[in-house]
Amino acid sequence: MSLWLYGLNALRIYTLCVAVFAFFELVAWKIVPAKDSPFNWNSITFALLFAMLLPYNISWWIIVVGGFIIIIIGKKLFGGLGAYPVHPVLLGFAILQVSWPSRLDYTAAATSLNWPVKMIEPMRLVKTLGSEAENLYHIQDLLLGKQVAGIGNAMVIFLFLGGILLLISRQITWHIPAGFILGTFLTGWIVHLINPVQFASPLFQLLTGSTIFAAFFLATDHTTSPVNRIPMLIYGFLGGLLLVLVRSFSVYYDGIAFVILLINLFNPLIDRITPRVIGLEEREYA
Amino acid sequence: MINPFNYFFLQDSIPRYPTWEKDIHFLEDPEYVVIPLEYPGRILYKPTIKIGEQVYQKQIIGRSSLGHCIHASVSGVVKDILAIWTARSFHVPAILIHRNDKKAITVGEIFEQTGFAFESTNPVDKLKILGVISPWNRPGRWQEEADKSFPEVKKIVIKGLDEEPSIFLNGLIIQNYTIKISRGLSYLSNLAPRAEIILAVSNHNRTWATDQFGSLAKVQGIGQNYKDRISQLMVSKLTETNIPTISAYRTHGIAVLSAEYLLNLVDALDGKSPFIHKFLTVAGSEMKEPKTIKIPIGMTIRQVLKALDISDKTFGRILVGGPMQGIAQYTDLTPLTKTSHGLYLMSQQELPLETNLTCTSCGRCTRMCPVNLQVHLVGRYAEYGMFTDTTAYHTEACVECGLCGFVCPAHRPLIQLIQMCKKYCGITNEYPQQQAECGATSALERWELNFQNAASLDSGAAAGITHESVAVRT
Repeated sequence: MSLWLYGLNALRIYTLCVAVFAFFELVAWKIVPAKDSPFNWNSITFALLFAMLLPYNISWWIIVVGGFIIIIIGKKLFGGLGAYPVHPVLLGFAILQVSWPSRLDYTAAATSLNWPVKMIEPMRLVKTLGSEAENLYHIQDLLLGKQVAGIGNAMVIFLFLGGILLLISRQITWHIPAGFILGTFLTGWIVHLINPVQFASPLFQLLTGSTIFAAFFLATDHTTSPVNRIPMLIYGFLGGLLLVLVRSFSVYYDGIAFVILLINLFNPLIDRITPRVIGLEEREYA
Repeated sequence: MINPFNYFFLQDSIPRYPTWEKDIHFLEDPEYVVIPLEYPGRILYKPTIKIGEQVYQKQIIGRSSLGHCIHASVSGVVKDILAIWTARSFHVPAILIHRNDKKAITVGEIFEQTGFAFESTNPVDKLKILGVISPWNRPGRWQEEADKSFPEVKKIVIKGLDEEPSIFLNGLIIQNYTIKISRGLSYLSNLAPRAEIILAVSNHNRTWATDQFGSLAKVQGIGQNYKDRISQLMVSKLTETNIPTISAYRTHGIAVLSAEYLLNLVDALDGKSPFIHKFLTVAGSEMKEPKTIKIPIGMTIRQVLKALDISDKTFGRILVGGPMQGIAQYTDLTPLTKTSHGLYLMSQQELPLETNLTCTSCGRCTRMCPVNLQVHLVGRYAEYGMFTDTTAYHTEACVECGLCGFVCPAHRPLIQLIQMCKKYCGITNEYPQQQAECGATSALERWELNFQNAASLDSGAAAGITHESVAVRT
């Protein structure tokens, strides 16, 4: 899909990301051999997730710096796969976004594209125009990914299909995506009810930016998400809630990186809500 | 061939066998049997025979401190008594008997050995002498157990079904030996007149079983799902009592017996035979239908596979038990004992290429756990040696069903890690193992080699075995 929309530039970013991430992973493994080997596809997954968040005209050195932050600092320094406290991809993305905001500006990147849609990031326009901005976008365009965003994080329909595939293959469970989407929708609805002029409608919140991408691909990362069912729902809901709050009341238009990093930090606390163990002695309950 | 989809599409279902062989096959007596003398945590027998002695089938060859007996499953000459590793990886003494064509003795003669008369002995003692450990007396691992008194048996649960998805033995037994099972049920109601007898059967057998045994026991149907059949949880549900996992059923006034046990009970109380034959189901991914067979106790896996004509090229690993709780065997010379209910032959494709990868906290184990343990945390604590920290997560509640390891995409030995935690923290219903180091892994192999070279065996000096080297702990 990225190739269809962005042409060879998307291929360039994907291949560069994969190469850089694999290189850093191999280097890290050569220096400190660990059980988390470079051949478990984890760094490739990270590379693809990272690439999907990037604007299509990103410089090569941003990817190299991002790869270093994600693999070496975000992942390996914390102990590799299964041990990092926050999602490395989003840690790297957040650092880059703070360090070089102009390089990761989707709207600025999209100026050279000539699509028959409004070439401004939807949430950005909402910030300035209020919910009127919604009328400038067509829902089909938003669903198909014809909106200003990273090369792969806004193709709502296709990401949704990918999420369904993950669900069928049992790589993820339905709790986190459901919680996330529900959280976004409910909070977006409440915010919209309070001030319908200033804030976008809940459906618009769902269809723009990285909401679906985050719900299915970023928030569901095994290591940084809870494992019990009720905590997973709470975690997802919290993610959706924070997403709407960040979009509505902060300077960031999407802010997905900060939202996921925040809920990642909540994970150990939420995961203490565990079901009661069956088959203990009676005095345990007394 | 490795199927790449196996790595992406994670399996969540347990192997199911839609069909299985409905007949029970009787295998011929093997050339030799190896009879373990200890079932750790339960019973320890002292041999009552000497090396070189002729024994007859059904003859008593060992006795525990509380008078329980173990019997020769074939007639033959005792060639050796030495420590071996059993199917459950315990290091125990065992007797090796080489078969010859001498006839079996009768139950009357067994009782002559013990000095009792069959008719005048009470039923519980009869069971003791005929090798059937009843819930009314302690097995006799330690002497002091005799003094402990238990509450009266209020409920008896009879398992007419099998936990493991590849084992069909109890289900077949209640169908093939209906009359004997009815007799067994009436014996039980005589032994424990006030107890409520519950017969658990598979759902598809339920109406049939109600017709057959409805007057003798309360028939309960259990679903096909493995989670419903896990013994401890099933018994808790059927008897409506909370039985902590670390305590025995008997301390709650509940006895749990299997259909196979009923057969042995009937045989013993009728004076027909002691417990010397074992039913077991042989299954495997390469086999079309699981086969249930009857073997003399102490037959080795190699002999069973040879008798069934299964080539060792069709499987990659042997499990004693089923695919969920079975224990992988180091050698196919392991003898099958009273506690081996099945053989599962894993094919080469079923074996994971890589095992024990990093835990990614995906939590499939924790969500799958039937007793709601935080398995992923316990596994990690155990991996880094922090065993004492796991007590906060109640590892003692683990029923060792094996579901966590089954669903783990990283193929981590979770059940073994939990067992290590339990052992380390001393929360286990097995007695502490203090077993001496010795070159026991070679005992089985030596016997097999000796058997191939019969001349050196008869000289008795093979591999330096002397009567003095035989040391059995008491």
